[in-house]
Amino acid sequence: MEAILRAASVYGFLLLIFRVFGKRSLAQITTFDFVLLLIVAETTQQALLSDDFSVTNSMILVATLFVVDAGLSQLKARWPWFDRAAENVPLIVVKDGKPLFDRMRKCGIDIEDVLTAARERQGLDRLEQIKYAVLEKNGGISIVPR
Amino acid sequence: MTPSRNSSSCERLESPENLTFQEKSWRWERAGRWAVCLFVGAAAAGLMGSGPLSRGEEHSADGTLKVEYPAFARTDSPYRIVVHTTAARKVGDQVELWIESALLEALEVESIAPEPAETTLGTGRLHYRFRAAAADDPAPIVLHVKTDAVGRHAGRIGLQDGPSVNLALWIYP
Repeated sequence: MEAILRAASVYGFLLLIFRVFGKRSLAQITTFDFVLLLIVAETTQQALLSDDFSVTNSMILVATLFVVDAGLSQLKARWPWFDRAAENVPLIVVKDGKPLFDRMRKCGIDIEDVLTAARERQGLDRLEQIKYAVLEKNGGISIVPR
Repeated sequence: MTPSRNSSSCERLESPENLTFQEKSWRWERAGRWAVCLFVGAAAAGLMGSGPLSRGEEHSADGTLKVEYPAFARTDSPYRIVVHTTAARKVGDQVELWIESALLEALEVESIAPEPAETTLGTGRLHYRFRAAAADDPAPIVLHVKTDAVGRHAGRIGLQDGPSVNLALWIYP
């Protein structure tokens, strides 16, 4: 029971912290972000396992994490408002080549992030070539060329 | 995907953009970030254990007993309970410390320095007897404990035929 509570509470806390710190926290990670993720994984691992390194305990934890995740997916599918609350919604950040700076600032992205996505995904090199840039739910930036 | 009812800024792109929700979301994110900052601040201050505010101290009315203990602690973590007493007056005197079982249910005593000469079970208490080697300003008795429960736990700790104090601990999961 304790292992299940540990897994569920760590899952819930991570979900909350990544939701609160924005959709950009996991997408297009820098080298330092990657290192930070490794540290988070190591820290949560100790909280999950405590002093119990048995195979049974790890099986319980893995199973609990999958069950909680599947349950959350079901809730998102059933209630769209829950999906929006947990995952946020896509947001247009460039329209007809014009950057919407206020939205970008609130999402923690800048014009360089948009141009990087435009170069990488569409081979575009100028902002005017972009019809729409959309910050997706997963934190990635989709580019629709003109 | 269904077009947004609020996508006034974008009529041509079929997008589930929802500005009303997005504005609310930004407000909640801001509040959430402040809450996380407060959480970190509270942890730094010691409200989650191991910090200035987590240090508890209780004195007996006659001043012969002082106990330092973790008022806020985290489960499965090591802590120290330091007992200062001036009860022994001459070399060879014995100091008998007792701890209520209610407290021991939340704390596992891993070691005691100095080691007690004798440990006995009393009614709802555990007694530790020490021989006093110095008459004045004796060294404190240090209990190395490990928290073994969650929630609020309280119990008394005191000296046989002497004063006692109540310790109240809040143990986080």
